[in-house]
Amino acid sequence: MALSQNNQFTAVDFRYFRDTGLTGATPRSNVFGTSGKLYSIFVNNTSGSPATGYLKLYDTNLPVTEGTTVPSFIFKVSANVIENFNFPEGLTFSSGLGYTISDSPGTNAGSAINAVGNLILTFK
Amino acid sequence: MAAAITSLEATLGGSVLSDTAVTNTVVANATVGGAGATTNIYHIEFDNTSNSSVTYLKIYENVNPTMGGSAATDEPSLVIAAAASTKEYFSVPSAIAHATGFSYIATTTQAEAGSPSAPSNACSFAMIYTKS
Repeated sequence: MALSQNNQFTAVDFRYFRDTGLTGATPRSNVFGTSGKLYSIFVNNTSGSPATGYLKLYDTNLPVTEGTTVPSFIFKVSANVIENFNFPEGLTFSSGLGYTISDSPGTNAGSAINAVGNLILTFK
Repeated sequence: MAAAITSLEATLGGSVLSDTAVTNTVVANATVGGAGATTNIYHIEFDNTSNSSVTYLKIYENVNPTMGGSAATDEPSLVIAAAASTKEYFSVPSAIAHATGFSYIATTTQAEAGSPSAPSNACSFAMIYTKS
């Protein structure tokens, strides 16, 4: 048997952000503290009594006000679904990344939903 | 030889929508088969490489949305911002379900507005989906 390995020339520098209590009541602002690209979203909307939500992402480093700040990206997340969004080239956030969720599409604030069990963002 | 073939229960995407000239005119009721068809979106490509400004692809869970309308279904259920000279694409293995079909538009106007602005040049848009 002949084993071989290669050196890893570049460090693993992706960053993960995990949120286990997102309801939309409190928007998250500039969670990475920098510009960059978003490569994946994992969201588990099966916990408790889940409802359909709209995950809204904001390209801004300023505090997010749901219903006023206009999202750059919106993704529908149905109730009782585990979604995995993959962005091979990354979505561009030129200022920063904030997010929230609500029961209403578009910019509207709508109402909070029951907490999403797990939201994981991969960012670089 | 012990080859076996297993029939797949369902295909990943039964239709491919390709639109090479998306602009600020709403393409209403875009699902094959028309209104009322549940659309499961698996893959989207949005090409903004011919423009020097950010352009937004907006998809509505509504077969005839009113731009700037007050109803929730007049608001986009899916928005993708494509940076200047950029092509964005993404896949969703579990699909994004749109129960009543969908419509779409490409605009440089980020907020919802009655008269969304057109990109300088039309964008391209492709989608893989199933309907049920």
